[in-house]
Amino acid sequence: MNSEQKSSLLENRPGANALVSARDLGRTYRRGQEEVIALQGLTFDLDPGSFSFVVGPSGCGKSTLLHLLGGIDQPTSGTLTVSGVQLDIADESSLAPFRRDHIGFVFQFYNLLPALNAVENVAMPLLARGWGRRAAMVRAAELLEEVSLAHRSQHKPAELSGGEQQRVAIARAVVGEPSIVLADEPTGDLDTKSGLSVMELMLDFNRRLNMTFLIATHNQSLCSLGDRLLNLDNGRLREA
Amino acid sequence: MAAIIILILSELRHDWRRIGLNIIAIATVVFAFLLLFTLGDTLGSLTIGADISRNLVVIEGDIVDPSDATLDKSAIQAAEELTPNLVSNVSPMIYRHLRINDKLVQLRAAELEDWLGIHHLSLADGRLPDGPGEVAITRGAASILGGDLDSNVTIFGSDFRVVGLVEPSGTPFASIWIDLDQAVALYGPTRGYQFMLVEVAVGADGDVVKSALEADPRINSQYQVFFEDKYTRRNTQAMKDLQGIAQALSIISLLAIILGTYNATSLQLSEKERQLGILRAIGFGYQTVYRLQLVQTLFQSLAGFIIGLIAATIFLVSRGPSDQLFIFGWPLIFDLTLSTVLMGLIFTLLFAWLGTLLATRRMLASSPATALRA
Repeated sequence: MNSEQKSSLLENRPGANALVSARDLGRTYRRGQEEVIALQGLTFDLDPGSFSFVVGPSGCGKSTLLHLLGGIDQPTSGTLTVSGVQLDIADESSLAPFRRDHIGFVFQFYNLLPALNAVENVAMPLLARGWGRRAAMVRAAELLEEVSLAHRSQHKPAELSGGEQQRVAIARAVVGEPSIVLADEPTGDLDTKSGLSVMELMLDFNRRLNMTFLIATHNQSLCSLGDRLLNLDNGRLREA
Repeated sequence: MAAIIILILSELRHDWRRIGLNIIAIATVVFAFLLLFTLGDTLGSLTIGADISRNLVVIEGDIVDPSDATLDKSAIQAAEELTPNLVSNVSPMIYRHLRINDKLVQLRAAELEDWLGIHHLSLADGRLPDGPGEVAITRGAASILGGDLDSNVTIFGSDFRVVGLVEPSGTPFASIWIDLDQAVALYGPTRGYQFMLVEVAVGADGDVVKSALEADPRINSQYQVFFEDKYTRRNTQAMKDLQGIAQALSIISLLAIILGTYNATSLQLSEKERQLGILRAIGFGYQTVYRLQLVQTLFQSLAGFIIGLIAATIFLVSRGPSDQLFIFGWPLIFDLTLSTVLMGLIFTLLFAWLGTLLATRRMLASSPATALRA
């Protein structure tokens, strides 16, 4: 079989064109003698440019799923490919560049670096990619302008409101134009107005830049905004 | 590299209190190390009894303080009868304690011609006394007297001029050396000599001479015979104990700097586990995170070391004459040596590096997701 034939077969297999391809994905933890099943038998694909939600009650495994997709945790069973990188067999030395080049994270509690101001926080992923300081700062400032925070660029996280911090976190997540942005309860710590503003911001990036988003939330009312819904219950997937 | 510089400078500005406390913690450990090690080094430098096993000491039995002993002329005669085949020289001594400037000083009197021979003194400066009213002193005594050559010292109400600085070969007590005849004139005949040194003749067996002396009824009835080095060691047990303490101090100070630096580094990294998790989540690799921590901890350790060194130097320099420590009348000179400083610097940086390496490895062994939950 020549390489063209092989390539054609790969293109035609299920999930071959998907950005995310999970097959029988599982994650178990050991807590003392007890084995805790966080995720079990998850099989799904996500297309590039999609705006998807993972929903389910607290503790159902939403965050664990996002951690696996983002390469900050590893599955204990099944296979997982994101942006062409097979994460279930990757080691830390290949996961770090994978995260750097393909993933943007938005966390519930923002996880901004407290010592850095807003523009420096946004510039960090670019600096991780080897950008020069000046170029990274210019690009980060542009992103802050896009999230309407140019006037707060020199402020540290502690000087920003929750909504502002989350917008800085979104700017940081998208600044490197990653393959996928994984947002873990991004509105969970915000009031309704700020939450909607943050959601609109992510939708805007998705529509303008065709950037893929997967958002974990327990707020079912937000799900109408997405093209795809992954319903998790007790670590298992019930697709809606 | 740009990220590392931005993070380091930002954290310095943002976290200056915590970083300052960390630097103070390291400085305290360095200060303790430098002082303890210097103390240990100084105590360890005190020599205990040179090996002068060719000399025998004849002294009254069961005497705790040699200045309380008396030596009868018949005992001296018994030893002299063994010359020249077994004994080459016999040197009776007058031995007293003096209190000068509130410090204990020994007075040792022996025949002038025996000083460089049987007593193994060496002349460090000046000359040996050659007339009445002249004495020589050791370096320790010079420190106590507050002067050396050409200074005056009052002994038993009489003034003497210091004409020579001598160094003993054995335990470095603070001593004033005086000619035996002058001491006899000074103290009178009542208490006589305290003990005598007997030099074994070349070619003679020390044990045979010792046995011969012990067999003599003029000696065995009242006196004991020791090899000089063993006798000195017996009388300087306290010095041996101090040397043991000195070694313990050195080990404790080394442990202090090793554990102190390591703990300060590890603790700091543990507190930053979540931040390091964020850095990893946004794409920084192991090497970058490790380098960032290494630069930060080395900077803090170096700053802590410099502050500790300055504090230790100021402490030692600011000690006045009244703070000086004396052991057996011998002044302890605390010198912060270059080798101690270099050792401290190497240990500080080495264990800061090791602390960073192990703590970073431990942290990076877990997933970024675990670090983010910290």
